[in-house]
Parts: sequence; C-alpha cells; structure tokens
Amino acid sequence: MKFGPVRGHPIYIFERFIVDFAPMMAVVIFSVVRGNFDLLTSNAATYVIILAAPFNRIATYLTTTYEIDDVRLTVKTGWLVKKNMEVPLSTITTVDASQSVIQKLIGAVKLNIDNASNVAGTATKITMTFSEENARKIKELLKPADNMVDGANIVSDGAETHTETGRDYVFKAKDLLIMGAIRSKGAALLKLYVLASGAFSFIAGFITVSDSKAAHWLEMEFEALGITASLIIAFAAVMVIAVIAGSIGTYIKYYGFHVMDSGDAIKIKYGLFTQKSYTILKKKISGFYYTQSLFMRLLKTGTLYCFAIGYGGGGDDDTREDPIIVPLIRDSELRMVMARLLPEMQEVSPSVVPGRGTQKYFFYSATMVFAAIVLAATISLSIADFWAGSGLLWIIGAVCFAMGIVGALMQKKNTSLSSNASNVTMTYGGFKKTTVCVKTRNIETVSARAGLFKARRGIKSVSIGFIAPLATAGATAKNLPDTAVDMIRSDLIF
Amino acid sequence: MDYSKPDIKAVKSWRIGQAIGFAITFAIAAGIFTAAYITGWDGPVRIIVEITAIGLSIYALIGMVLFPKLEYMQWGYKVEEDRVVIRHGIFFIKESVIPVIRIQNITVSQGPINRRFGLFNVEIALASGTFEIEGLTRETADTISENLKARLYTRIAEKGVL
Repeated sequence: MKFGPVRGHPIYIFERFIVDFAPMMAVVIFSVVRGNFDLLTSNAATYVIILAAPFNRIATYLTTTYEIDDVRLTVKTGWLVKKNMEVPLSTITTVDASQSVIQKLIGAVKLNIDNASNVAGTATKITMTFSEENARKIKELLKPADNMVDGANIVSDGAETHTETGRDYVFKAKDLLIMGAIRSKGAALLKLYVLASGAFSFIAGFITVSDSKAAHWLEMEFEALGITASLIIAFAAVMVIAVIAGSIGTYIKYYGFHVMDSGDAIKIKYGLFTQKSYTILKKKISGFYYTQSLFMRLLKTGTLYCFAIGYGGGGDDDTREDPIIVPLIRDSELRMVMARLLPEMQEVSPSVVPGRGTQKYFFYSATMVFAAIVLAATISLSIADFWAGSGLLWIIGAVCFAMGIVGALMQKKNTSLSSNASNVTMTYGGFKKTTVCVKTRNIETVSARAGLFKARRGIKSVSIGFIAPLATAGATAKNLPDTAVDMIRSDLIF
Repeated sequence: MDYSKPDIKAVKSWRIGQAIGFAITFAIAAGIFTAAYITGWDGPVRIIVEITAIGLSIYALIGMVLFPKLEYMQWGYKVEEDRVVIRHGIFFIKESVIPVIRIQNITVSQGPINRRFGLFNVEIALASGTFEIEGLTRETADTISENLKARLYTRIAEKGVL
C-alpha cells in the first residue's frame, strides 16, 4: 500500500454549513428567541428533518477512507450500505485542487478526482477535502499517466504529441472586469432577483410600507414619471447593478487567471478567495467552444472554453464548470490561439450557411411558440382588464414576441458549419452565439433531423456527437442544406 | 442497401406505451376538472389550465391511435461494414450515422411491455451518448449484437486501437 487508508479532513463536515446545518441552527435560534421549545420537543419529524443532513455529512466523513496502491485508488464508503469503489490509476484523468480562504487557514485542500468513466455512461467523480500533506501525496500518486485511456476507442494519430516550449498567458484585471460586465446577464439577474427578494422580505419584518419614507418617495416618483418611464428606469437600474455585480464577481472568481502551456499540457490557475488549479493534457482536449453574449459580440470578443474528458461537464459550480482557456479573446485572434494550443485547429474550410428561404424555419421553434403564448395570454388579460394596470400587460407580451423574432433572425445569421479532415467548426445561437471547434477524429456521430416538408426542400438540422463530458458532448446547427450533412459525413472517420 | 425495419409487433408494443401515457394524462386532466368543480375555482387561470389539460389529453389520444403506425413507417436501420445508420421519428425524421469503431458497448434490453411481445432493443453506447434500435425479435437482436461486436473487433484490429 502506497498511501492510506486515510479519512479526509474534518473540515469536510462543515463545508456546506449553510445547507447542512442552517435548518438545525434556525430551529434552535427560533426556539431560543421565542423562549418556546415546543417545536423541538413536540414534533419528532422536526428532529429527522433538521438532523438528517448533518448526520449524513458526519457519517460520510467517518465511514469514507481512501487507499492508493500501485494500480488503483480504492474508496470505501457507507454506513448501512457499504460501497467499495476501485478506480484504476491508468484511467484517472483529473486531479483538481482548490482551496478556499477558510481551508487555507486550517491547512486543508479540496481535491476533485475524475476519470474517463462517463465514456461508459457512469460518472466517477470523487470530491473530498484532505490535509495539505495528504492532498500533496495524493496528487503526486494520482498524477495522470501518459498512456491512459483517452476516451476514444481509437489510437492517437500522434498529432497532439508536439512539444513546444512553454508559454505563459496572464490575464489582466481589466479583461476580467470587462468579461464579467458583458457576460450573459440571465443567470446574474435571476440571482439578483433571489437576493433582492430575500433582502426585501427581511427588511419588511422591521419596516412597514406605510411608515417608510423611501416607499412613499418611490410611490410619488412612480406616479410622476408614468408607468413606461418607471419601468425603463427600473430595468436600466437592474442592468447597471447586474453589470457591476457581474464584474466584481468575475474578478474575484477568476482573479490572477494564469494559463501555462507546457507543450503537452495546459495548466490553469486562478481565484482570489477560492484558488483553483488544474492541468489538462492536450491529448484529452477534443476541441474548444467560444461563447459570446450580445454585448461581447458588439465588442467582437468572447470567452474560450475547452472540451476535455474528466473536466467540467456543464454547470456553474466549482466541480462542474467547463474549463476556461481564455477569459476574453478577440474574434480575430480565436483561430490563432486555438491552433497554438492544438495544431488540428489551424486548417480553415469554407463554411456552409442556411440558404435562401430558410428564415421561416428558424421561426418554427419552441421559443417562438412560447413567445406567441405569452403574447396571446397578456393580450387576453389586457382586454379583460382583470385588475388595475393589467390593461398594459400586452406590452410585456409584445416585448417577449419581438425578442423571439429578433432571436430567430440572429439564429439564421449566426448558423454555419465547416468541416475538413482536421477539424469541424459549428456556429449557432441567437442572442448568445456559440462556436464549437472539434477535432474531426474525436467526432463520433453525425445526425441529420428534418420534418417531412423541410426534408423535401433539402434542409436539415445537423448534430454532431463528440468525445467530451456527457452533458456537453454534442452540438446542433439548424436548417442547413443537405450538402452540409454530406460534407461532414465524408470527413467522419469510419 | 435498404433500411431494415423493426418487427411489426413493435407497433402494438408502442401503442400500449402510448396508451399508458394517455391514461396518465387523462387521469391528471380528470383530476384537475374534479378539483376545480369541488373547490369552485374560477377565473381566467382555470380556463387556461382546463384548455391545456384537454389539449394534452387529445394529443395523447391521437398519439395512441396514430403515432405507433406512423413511427413504424419511418423507422429503419442499416448495419453496414463500417457504420450503423438509424432513422426514426414521427413528424421530424432523424437519421444518425455511427461509425462501428466508436462503439463502446452493446446492450440487448427488454422492458415489461416488450417482454409481452417477445421484443428486444439493441442499445449502442458511445462516449457521447446512446443510440437504440427498437422492437427487434430475439434472433435479430442477437444477430445485430454479435455482428457489431465482430465488426468492432475487426475494425479495432485493422486500425490498431486500444
């Protein structure tokens, strides 16, 4: 046995303090403040609810051990149901380390260990916090091997084994701030709404609307400006807050973003409070994707991510976030940067785009149906005038519908596909444009989909499936001519 | 090479599946109507919910009567030397090309409805997802499965893979 068996660091128990311990704390504090312990003493179900999460966390910590020998990592876990997971060292693709401020203070490191098992449809992500010394030993022992499974059932053609001298890319604070400011604001606005709702509910407990001068002032201003101007000002204010919050949040999260290209691998480090670092072997990278929000497109910039087995897989949390390669990059530099990292990305072929008369097919979408339903519903409510002010609800429906139309127009403009023996490049999306560039040898399937009438006109939506974390292993470009399907199929490796 | 088709008994199997879907949709719709009647719920939201429930029930009923036949007409698959082609769909036809060399594993499966008709599905798993050939007899499913395995090993030997 080279290492272990060892448990993780005890801080693991308290890592999700808010989620696991908050209900228990809330009930205790509530009971103490009210001076009434009935809630704790009279209801057995309360005990189960408030103690289940902390108990589960403690039980997981106490019953989970890690061992490493010459060939495998063994994780034994479980209290009532024992589970013994053996992961061959040769399949391990990822050993990420991250350290929050609190973890740094007490000498703990969180490790995410992953292998290529999503190839077989089952995820084997292992997340545990260890002492700094144990984390260092584990990282050393589990260092991804060169001869490991690369997720494909086909050998490497050797193209990725080039060894260039190391290059370092450090991104300026200005880039991170701009990236945060111009990123897609949907998720940020939703978070803002949740935070604002929570804050208002809390404040409402102390201040009643009738005695609030601010509320009275807002009411007066609202009447003076009128509903349209008030809504525009409110929207602008929310957007400004979202931009500022997005900038600061991105700056903190990606602080000191640093990419080191050592030839065969890319090492990425970033983070102010929670520091992250991970190494991706280039042979594991199937390709890249480049996303641009509307604001990013106006500035001709975007963010470059990569697809690699064992890394990311969609989502915004620390363990599932796709690896960012360049936080902010200009359109004109995209191909050059991709080619510098993977030579297969160098070759550029002419693109196939949706032909004339295909615009109407972009309107036949779930988004447009939803927009039409919202429009119809708001018009109905406006006509019926159910409550004061509902006569103007149709404006919201009209805005939704107009955005649907603009989105469909932009989808046609953004859609394209090009293919050659080295790479396949697919661009799609409406307000948020995505360009996917994948090695041809890592493409697994090509699918074409069309309704009966569309098929007769030789128009199809083309999907590719490629080697990547399962949640991100596909891309679709809509309403392309048959030639696009033939072109990509002719390049597919059989 | 022409497309092969699933066994004709697959139509009945799919119809039973659709019938279960219809029964669930209809039960939910009936529940909504009953609850609205008992509680005296009124207003525009009730109308929207009831119209939606009726619409979904009618769609599920049409699905039960028409879709299995339509689906059977469109279904087709080809197992060639180096690739598998699967074509299926009702209103939208999807045709997928899968290189044999990309196959990670092949599974022959049978659900409870298919068991009643002696039908099987062949699942072809790749790193990027799973594809399925549905409604096959045991003999056909085994033949396809064995055939694909043999071709996969041949291709692996030819291409010098892992």
